[in-house]
Amino acid sequence: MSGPLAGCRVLDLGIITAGAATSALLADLGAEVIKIESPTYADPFREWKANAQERDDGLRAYFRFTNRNKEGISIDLKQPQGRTAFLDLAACSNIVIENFRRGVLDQLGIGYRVLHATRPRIILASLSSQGEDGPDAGYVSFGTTLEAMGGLAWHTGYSGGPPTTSGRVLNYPDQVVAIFAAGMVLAAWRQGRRTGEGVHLDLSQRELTSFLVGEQFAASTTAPARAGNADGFHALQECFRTADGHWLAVSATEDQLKALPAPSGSEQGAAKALQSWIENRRGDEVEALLQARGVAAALVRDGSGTLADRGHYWHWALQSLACDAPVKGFPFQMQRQPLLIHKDAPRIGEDTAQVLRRVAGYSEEQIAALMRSGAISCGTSADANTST
Amino acid sequence: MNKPLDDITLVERVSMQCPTGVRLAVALAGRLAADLGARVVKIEPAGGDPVRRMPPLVDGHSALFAFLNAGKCSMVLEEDQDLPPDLHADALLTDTLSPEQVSARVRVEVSMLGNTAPANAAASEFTVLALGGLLNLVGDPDREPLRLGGHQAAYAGGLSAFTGLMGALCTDTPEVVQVSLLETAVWLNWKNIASAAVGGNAPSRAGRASDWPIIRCADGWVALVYQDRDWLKLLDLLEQDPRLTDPALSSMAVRSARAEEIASVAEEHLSRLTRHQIREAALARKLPLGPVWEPQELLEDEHCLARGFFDRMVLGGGVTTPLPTLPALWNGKRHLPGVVPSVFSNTARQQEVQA
Repeated sequence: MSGPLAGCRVLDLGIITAGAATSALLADLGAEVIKIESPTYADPFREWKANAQERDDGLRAYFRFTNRNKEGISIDLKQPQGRTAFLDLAACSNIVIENFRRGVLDQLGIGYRVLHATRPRIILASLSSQGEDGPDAGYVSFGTTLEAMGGLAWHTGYSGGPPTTSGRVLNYPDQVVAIFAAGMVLAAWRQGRRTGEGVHLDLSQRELTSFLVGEQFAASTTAPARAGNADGFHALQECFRTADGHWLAVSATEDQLKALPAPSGSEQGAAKALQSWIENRRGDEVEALLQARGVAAALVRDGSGTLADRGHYWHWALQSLACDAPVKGFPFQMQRQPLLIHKDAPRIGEDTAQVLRRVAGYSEEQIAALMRSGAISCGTSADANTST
Repeated sequence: MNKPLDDITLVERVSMQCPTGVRLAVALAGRLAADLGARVVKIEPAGGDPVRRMPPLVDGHSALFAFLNAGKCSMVLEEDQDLPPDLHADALLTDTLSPEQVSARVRVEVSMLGNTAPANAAASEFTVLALGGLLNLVGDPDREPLRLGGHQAAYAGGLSAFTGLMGALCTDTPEVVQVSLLETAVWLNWKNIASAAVGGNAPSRAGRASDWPIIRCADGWVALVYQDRDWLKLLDLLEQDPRLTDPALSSMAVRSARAEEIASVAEEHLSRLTRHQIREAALARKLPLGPVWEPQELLEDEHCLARGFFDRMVLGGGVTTPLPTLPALWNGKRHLPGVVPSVFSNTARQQEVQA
């Protein structure tokens, strides 16, 4: 494998999005990522459907999007032999990623102290909802919870309306944390190569959510809590209905407003004039007309609309497997050592035997004994399934 | 403790016509690197970075600038001036419009729409959210789509720029990292894209009828978040209201279809509880309910205080304000932000940088 993280081995205990998406980005950067599930517990993403129309043949899109580029093993960490097998892998690994509830890692006997004793240079990245400690450390949270508790929801919403969140589909905090956490892990990995030291990274998603509205914590600002689409920079920023029923997002400066076809004295007047000009025209027409005047204007896309722009405005954020199935792409790209997709997501335990052999040096007899005791399970690969 | 990037010098330089979204993204990436110990030299024109005049303002000083630039040093150079020859940069954070004046092993280029969009295509953070499909997901179904508060398009792009920079610094060969605010926005919206890619209905904003709506409580608002397995615990908190004990509502699909009705009943009950009482109840029952805190309340929040999340920063002229610190603890320790640079003290700083 090539890339900035070539030669780096990651044990991925992440489930659903935050942890698993962080590991996926490390895999894209060249790390060898081993996803760990259990004979008694699979990543819930294996079951979630993208929508009611998703066909029921093979790997689900959500799971595939988040776990491509990884190997998959199945170890029961609650069994002593399973725990030992995990620690034998950790002794030969560089990074562990987890986003369990706080306390679970210690209950399993694989907390930072144990990992550090096993391999002093190990980096443990803990992506938690609220951080390792503090009175809310045990607060069960999802992205929407964190937007509410972190201050983002307070600043999102219609003027005079209630606080608003990004919702369950976007689930904003879970997505941004993966980019941030991958960056922090890279910084820790680079430092570890210089100093030979490991580290426990405590990454609180609630704190990141607050950090991303950081300037709003400044004292005594007089701006209203929620101002709809106005941003305090543009003289006018709003969505307008077009004649064919689309929404057009427009950001205009004061100078641009004056030069628009229906200028008016006040900002409110300008908004009204622009509204009546836009509502008599088709969306694609008025988008082009405003763009030609240098005004930032874009029709509001739904998922299908954004997908239709692929290859025109954007390229890397979605990738395809050799079998043509779409998978998650990259939030940035590198010219010399590009981020790449090299394999599909694994079936449960697809690589258990080969990883224990190759990484931990287990014998066939040891692996067979672990299978019999139920401490591990070995699945079959997607290729094996399709060829039979 | 040695800081992870204390061996790195980073130059931050964008062109005069750089769009605000890119300016903010570049600055955020630089701030993260400065917190981790990098020496970050921010190049500004004599009039100062325009962000110095952008809201929110505290007694005339930009909190936005302070938040994004703490810990950097400022150097005044006009667009046609080269860096001092003895300033060695390991990496450059820049836009795609700047001339290639700075030689550095790593070059991180940030744009609004990527390098295949027409060069003159106008874009704002707002239109990036529209193009990326994020705007369509936020707000009420019968009203205009809504942007997320703050500068999420720029800051998410800034996180990409930072992580790309870290990736390139892990190698020892020349590298160019490409970041586009739109590309990052589409990446964030992957579930929506996946849904469109497998066929079928693309989700849209549902407002109060969404699965996890925001509803009223006694002293504000709360996000009504719960999973399938939490339903009975939630019923208990809602005093087994007979309108919700309908057996049909034990199915998640039915609850999703009747979400607005559930929200209204929940609101009647939660209107009797304050956000602090809801927090206590959620902690005790392990329910993911989200009391909506105001930023000013969070400054006094016992959880934030216990974790030392906020730090006071000097904005200039003796004005101070609390701002969040880096949300990453290394072995339990915070990397606190440095001083906010003043544009006028550059001569001394220039000497310091060159020294």
